Amino acid sequence: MKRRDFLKFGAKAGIATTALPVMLGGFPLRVLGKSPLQQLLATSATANDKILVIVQLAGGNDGLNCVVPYTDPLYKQYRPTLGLDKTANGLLVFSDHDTLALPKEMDGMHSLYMSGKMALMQNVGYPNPDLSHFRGTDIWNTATDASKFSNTGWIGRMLGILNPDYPPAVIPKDSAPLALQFGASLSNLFFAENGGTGIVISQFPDSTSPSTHLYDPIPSNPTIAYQELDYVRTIEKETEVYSQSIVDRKVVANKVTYPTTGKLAPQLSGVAQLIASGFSTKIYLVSQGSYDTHSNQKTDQPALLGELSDCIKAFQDDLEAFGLADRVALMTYSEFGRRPIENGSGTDHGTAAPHFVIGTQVIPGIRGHDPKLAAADLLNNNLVFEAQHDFRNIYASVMYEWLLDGAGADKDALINSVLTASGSSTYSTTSSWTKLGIFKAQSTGAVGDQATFVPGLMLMENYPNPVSSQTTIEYSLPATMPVELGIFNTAGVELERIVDARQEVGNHRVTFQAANLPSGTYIYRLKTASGVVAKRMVVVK
Amino acid sequence: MDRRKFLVRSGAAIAGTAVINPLIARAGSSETEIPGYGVSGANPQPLLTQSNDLSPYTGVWGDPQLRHLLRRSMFGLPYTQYQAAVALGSMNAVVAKLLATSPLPAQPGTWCDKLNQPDRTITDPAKLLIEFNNKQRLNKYMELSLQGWWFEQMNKEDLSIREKMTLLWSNHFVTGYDSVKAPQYMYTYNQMLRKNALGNMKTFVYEMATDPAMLIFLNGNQNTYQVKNGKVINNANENFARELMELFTLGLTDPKTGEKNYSETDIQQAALALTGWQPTQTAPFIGQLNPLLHNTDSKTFFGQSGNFGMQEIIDMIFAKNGGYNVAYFLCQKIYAALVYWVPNTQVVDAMAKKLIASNWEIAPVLDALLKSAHFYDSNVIGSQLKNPAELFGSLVREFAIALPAYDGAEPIDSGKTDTQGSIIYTDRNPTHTYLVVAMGVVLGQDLLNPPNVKGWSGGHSWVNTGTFPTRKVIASLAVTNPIYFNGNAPRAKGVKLTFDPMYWVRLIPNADKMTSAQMSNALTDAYLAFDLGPIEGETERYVISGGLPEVDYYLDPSKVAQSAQVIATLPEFQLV
Repeated sequence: MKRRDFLKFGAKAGIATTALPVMLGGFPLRVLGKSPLQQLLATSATANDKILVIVQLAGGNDGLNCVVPYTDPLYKQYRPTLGLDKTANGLLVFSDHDTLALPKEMDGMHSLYMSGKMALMQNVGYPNPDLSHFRGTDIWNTATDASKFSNTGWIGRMLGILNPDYPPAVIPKDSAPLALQFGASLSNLFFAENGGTGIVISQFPDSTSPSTHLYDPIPSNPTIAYQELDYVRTIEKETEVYSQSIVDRKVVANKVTYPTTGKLAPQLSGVAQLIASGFSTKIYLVSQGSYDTHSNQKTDQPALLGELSDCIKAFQDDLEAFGLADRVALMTYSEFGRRPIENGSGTDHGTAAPHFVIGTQVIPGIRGHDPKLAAADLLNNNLVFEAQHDFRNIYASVMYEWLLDGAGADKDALINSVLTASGSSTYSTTSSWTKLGIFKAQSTGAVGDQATFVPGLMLMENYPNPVSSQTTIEYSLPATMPVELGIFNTAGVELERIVDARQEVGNHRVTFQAANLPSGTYIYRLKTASGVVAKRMVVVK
Repeated sequence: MDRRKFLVRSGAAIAGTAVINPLIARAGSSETEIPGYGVSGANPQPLLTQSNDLSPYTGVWGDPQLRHLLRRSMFGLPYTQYQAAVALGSMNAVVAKLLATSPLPAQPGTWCDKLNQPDRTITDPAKLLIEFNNKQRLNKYMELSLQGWWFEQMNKEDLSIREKMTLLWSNHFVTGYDSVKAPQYMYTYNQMLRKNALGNMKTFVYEMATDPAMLIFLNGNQNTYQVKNGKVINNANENFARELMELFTLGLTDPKTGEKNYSETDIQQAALALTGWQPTQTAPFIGQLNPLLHNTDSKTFFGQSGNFGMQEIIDMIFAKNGGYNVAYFLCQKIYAALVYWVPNTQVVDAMAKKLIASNWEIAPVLDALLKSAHFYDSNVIGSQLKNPAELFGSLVREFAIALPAYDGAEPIDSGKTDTQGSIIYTDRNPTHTYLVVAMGVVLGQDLLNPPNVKGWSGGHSWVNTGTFPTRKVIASLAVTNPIYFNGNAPRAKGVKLTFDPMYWVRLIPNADKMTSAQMSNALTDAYLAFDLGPIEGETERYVISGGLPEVDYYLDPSKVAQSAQVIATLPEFQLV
């Protein structure tokens, strides 16, 4: 039984008669939602509205049979059984780089390359590589030197720095999570010091009905057991809020057809749907695998790469059909590549491998040299990564040139906090990260009232919204400064000044009495010395 | 039990739980086995209590302690088993019963003894394809049947910890049907886990390493070295050698020094030493060494040289650092499954020493753990999120939901074929299949098919924004609308789950003579690891009484069913 069928069945069976919770729909998806980064990037017009979709190739994708150095005699010597031949295997050669080719199953990605939407980063890796799946995955997710450990992920750290108060004590209505993942359990990619910054979803909800339970408060100084109970209650609350926000947005249908088999297609088509529906999540994680081809590689890897390529092509076409392609970039990663010398029917764990960055805003091309296969160039029989292509330089570039583009002068400091050290944690002895120029220069125009983007300045959605009698507005200041918070009608007339004072750095919360306002749409605007942010509220009597 | 007294005791919880152990502070890295967690909450911390070793529990032996012991040792606690345990009396007697040995369950059917190998003598390619499809389909049905059989073992389990340990080991010595593709091997593997679940750790590792499913899952069967006509064909495959050390015995690093436990060279040398093991194709299904595929050169492993084979490699792994590193790594897993998902390094250290002292026997470690003051600390009771098997176990067993008798015989050949000409089989156990599919596809614990060789992450990863709503829906349906499982809905043909509210509630002695408040207390004591506060307690009382005053209160089936639904959908029900 497919998950979707099962849930439909469940819905048919019981929902009408019982106080049932939200139904979350069919497949796993990871969404990074509305908060630091989102506020940073998408609060309004000024903000960068870029989205990153991360595709994990779980299990360790074999680079040499993915981006094939088919002209290198050593390749064929190392791979008597698995080696791919240009003619016999119908390899798709890169016309501007004819020593490399993709397997024929990757025709979709080959066409993206040929139409200038793909950057191919060769020999990506890091010093002293670890050949364990799990340690390797941790290193890529937590972005540390091989000798250092962290329980936070690079995405989680970035979001955590931008949004130090996440998760809020009360989740505002109509929120989207900072990050979203289609999957079974939250990746440590999204862990920040304060906890996870993303959510896992399995399916789109088609209806919501909030929990009818009333709960006793968690005791003060709770036991670990009560802390765990609090965790479950928080998940319940988050589920309801985020599900409601998906329901309210009425998720739109895809504009292209995705592959009908495999687990990646529903994930990527789901991401496209959320993006097209205006969901404010900035970062999505999807995964595919297993690429752990110790055996049967000849059959298994081309099938996986074909699925990957077909799905990415469909996703890109979908975004272009929606007119959203300029806002979205996709990147791949995997815990390691595989050994150049085959083991008979497969390949054992290896090191450096190629990875892809895809999107209309990518500067296309093949970066880095072809894999160096000579025995003298290998280390312990494994490929050596290209220093320029330490995977963290790719992360730094994605942040600097894409996710944080337009975020002002603090970008390098922020990137160092994510990749080098923050607080008492050290992630790397390296303190200078190379921006690789993966993305075209982005233009960021001011929109509406918000002239300047200010990192740390956040205005949250009011709640409740719509408002009947009173509502709460929360905001956060990057420094102590004079603040004005006013209510405007849609004609731009200020109706009421709620705050007019010099206020401390940090979080503030005010309650606004809407009793005197007739039903309608109003604007609440936060004006500070360093920027202006505005949002809408609806009053319903 | 007087809930107020209990609350006072819980309230007087031990302070100082916030101390962060430096080893644990690496949460999220693979080596400390900290699984993923959800959006909320600070980083997980180990559970430090007043007693952080295996000092015996000397406090009151009351209902909360007894129920905690039973809930942690089994899949849900049926009221009748609780009563049977009460009759046993002391903690020592109950723990002895839980750890007692008993015969292994009989196999589901004779099909377990014969592989479904396609008839390769068929020459017509179209017919050969159909033959392959038929065998593949038959295998898949048998695998579903086997999953149902395993669930049946959990469901039927008497007062014993063995099924709990079997599930734990399946998540440690991981194999998966999707790779192995032979339900017969998976059955053999599953029984191997059960047989060794409370036995000797060293014997266990050796049997695991030569298990047919394991040989296939981690490519041990392809790990070969031959000399043919003077030519060396070295197809050494490192997959098993690596995971044997990284995931099954040592872990990546020494728990005390943080040094790597082994080098890449050790892996390569061990792979050579382990060459040549092949699964048998006919019963009994075991691994056998084929000398023609085995490398007999001298290997250097952990600094020693010799013509090592499987036994020597395992012996040397167990000998490392006096056995401490293996013992510590394994005891972390036991602790995480039975006590709390974030290991307490001090308790694990004491367990590891106990395991070594008992010459690798598992039962003495469990005996000490289940009688320790740490285990009965109020921080521990209710701190563990139920995995899907535990959730289903508690739904089916605690609500006394009746399932049809399990029939383990070969799937029925319906005599019909599909449009491609492949045989259509009929499932003999649609209810069991329904449950295991729900557990796997919907909640993430596909028995016999973990997501990767590291297994399910456990802990907070079980309950997240994706799985939580479904957990509630399933719980709610199970006790309010079981009729909807009974074959009316699409894709649920033949599924039959029966919940009889009056039978269930009358398992509680004197149920008909209780006040609604007494009944509410009795139910929540029986089925929740937490005492409810005034708000939730009053909700439960109100539901079961239907708002009637005490003098008019009587047991009503629909009210009882609603009351069961409230219990099953409370966040408290997710914890044990």
